[in-house]
Amino acid sequence: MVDWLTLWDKVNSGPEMEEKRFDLKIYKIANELKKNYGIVFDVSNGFKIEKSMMRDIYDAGFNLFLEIGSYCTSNKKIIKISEEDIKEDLKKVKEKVRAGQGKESIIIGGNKPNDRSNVIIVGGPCACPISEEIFVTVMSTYANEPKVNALIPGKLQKIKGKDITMRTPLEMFATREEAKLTRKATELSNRPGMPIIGIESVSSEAANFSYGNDGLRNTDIHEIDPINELKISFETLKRILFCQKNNLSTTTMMCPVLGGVAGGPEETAIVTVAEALQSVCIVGGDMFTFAVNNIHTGSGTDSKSLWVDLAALLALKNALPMVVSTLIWTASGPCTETVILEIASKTILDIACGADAIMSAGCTKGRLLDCYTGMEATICAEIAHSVHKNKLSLDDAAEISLELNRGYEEKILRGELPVPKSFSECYSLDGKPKKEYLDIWNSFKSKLKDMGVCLV
Amino acid sequence: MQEIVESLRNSVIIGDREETKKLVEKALKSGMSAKEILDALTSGMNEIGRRFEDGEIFLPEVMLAADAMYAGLEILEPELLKGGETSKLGKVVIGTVEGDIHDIGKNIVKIMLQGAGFEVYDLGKDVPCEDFVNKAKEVKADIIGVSALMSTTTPGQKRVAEIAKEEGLKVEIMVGGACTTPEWAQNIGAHYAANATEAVKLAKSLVDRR
Repeated sequence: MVDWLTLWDKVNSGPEMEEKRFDLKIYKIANELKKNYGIVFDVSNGFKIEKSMMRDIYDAGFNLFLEIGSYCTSNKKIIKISEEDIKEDLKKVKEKVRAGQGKESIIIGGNKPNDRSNVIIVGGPCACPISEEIFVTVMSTYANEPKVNALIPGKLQKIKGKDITMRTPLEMFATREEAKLTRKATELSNRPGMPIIGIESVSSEAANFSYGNDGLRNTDIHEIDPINELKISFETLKRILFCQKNNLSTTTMMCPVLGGVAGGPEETAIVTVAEALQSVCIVGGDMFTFAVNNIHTGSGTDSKSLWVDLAALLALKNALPMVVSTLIWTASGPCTETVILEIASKTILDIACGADAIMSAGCTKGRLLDCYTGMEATICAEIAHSVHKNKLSLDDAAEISLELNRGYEEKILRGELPVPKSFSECYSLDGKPKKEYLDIWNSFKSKLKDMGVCLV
Repeated sequence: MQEIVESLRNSVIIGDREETKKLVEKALKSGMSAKEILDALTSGMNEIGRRFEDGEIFLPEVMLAADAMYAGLEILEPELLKGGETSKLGKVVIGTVEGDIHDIGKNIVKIMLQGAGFEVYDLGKDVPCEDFVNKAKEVKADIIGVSALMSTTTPGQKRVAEIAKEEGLKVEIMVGGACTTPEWAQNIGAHYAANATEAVKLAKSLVDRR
């Protein structure tokens, strides 16, 4: 665990630097490391990375974090961790995280590229917008799926008809409400012990307020959101302190931007590894969750983003016993074949690479209100478990993932996406998916079977 | 002269500040007009914009190119004013809305707008809604650009539009960001830009019709 006072000293004693200069330095160093280690993005032969490159990507990420550290946006200072301290912290990295209560308690962790027997599925809209009128109903469709082990709530847009404004008391009310309503969904589904992962907010006050009597419990996993890339703020520090002092299990949540400050796929993979080390050494996260976001598509399922997943997951999972999860952020939305292709492509690849958990799904790039359903979690869960059950090798999984990706890549790049259906168009009043969505899914299952993936 | 134009364009493209400054001075001494030099710099930024949108380069290269262009503009600006010209197509106040700390997209839009010849006042991130309007009043802006990347911060875009209307400010509102849609923009009486290239085109069309 990170000693908070030591961290606070480091935050205040580091050298000052303009944020823009820090950003340019990340790219400069990551780019040099990419060249020095010979890390190359190449999908012409499929989603493949040689074992030596997995080690190189990890070492590059380590060296990036060692050289550049983290940046505190609140006081514009660099936080550097010595090599000795990084290695010492890595020796203590958590291999497993417990969450939930009673028959719903789970252990996350232990997966590797050649052992995916402990797949954890986190279902939910992943902080995408949900109306208060249907919030519980939507969350219930995820909780009702037996293969979903935990929930990640959506975000309320209004409370009792009032717009939620950031950094106001109403936002605090809203985060608690999100936790409370999600818990209600678990109770309605007869799974009151189900763990919840959350609650996202840039305000530490609001995020912290989600914990309490009718909110998140100490058996849930509390989200800490640093800033990309390799940055924290005083808000992050307040959140770290709160979670530490209340002995809460946490996940660091990062969304590395491919094409942004990190640069191209190779640099983004290196930066993702560095951010995993930031999670251990600075944030003190029990888990590290990442969702690559391509700056051009706004989603994380194009081939370059998937390659970053492959590279970062294999690098981390081969080097450390840390708990790593990914989050699916699709361009398309419910009740379309495209959304199933996106979920399938990413799920097969990430689970084959050893991801301990996968969160499904933030659809429509998080843009549309109420366009998120339990079906996206069902789809992810069935496919995720099939990777282990079908004993898919990494190479086979990578090949299938790439083939699925070809079914939607151009559509995403050209922005030619099918019109998604909203929750109420996909689900009937009794909380069951409608025939149209089930038909699309069943038809897809047959295609997957032809590709060698039998869903059990 | 063509050689200098090409060199200027390339020095921006490769992000070489010092070379750009030297070339601007050389170009002025050679008798090129400030406008011709500006066009050469702008053409470099336009090429950068194209390469970025096509995924050939990434944000850091855009930032370095912009730095090079700003360095050249610093030397050029007095010459442009002497000639009664301005490099400015219009004034834009831009920022990421209150409660939102994401600014990558906003920074790209800012750079491309400046490259296209707009005078841009960047308020940064997590900007209170009234600050957009206050700054727009202060500088007599043509456009306010409001970026929001989270579903919970897009209401801030609506609030900026409302405040501008309440204060009777004649300004165009342009919105963008991961959670913004054309429908949302229309609902709040704003204009939508999907990316930096579109933002520049939109900004130009908005000032043209004012």
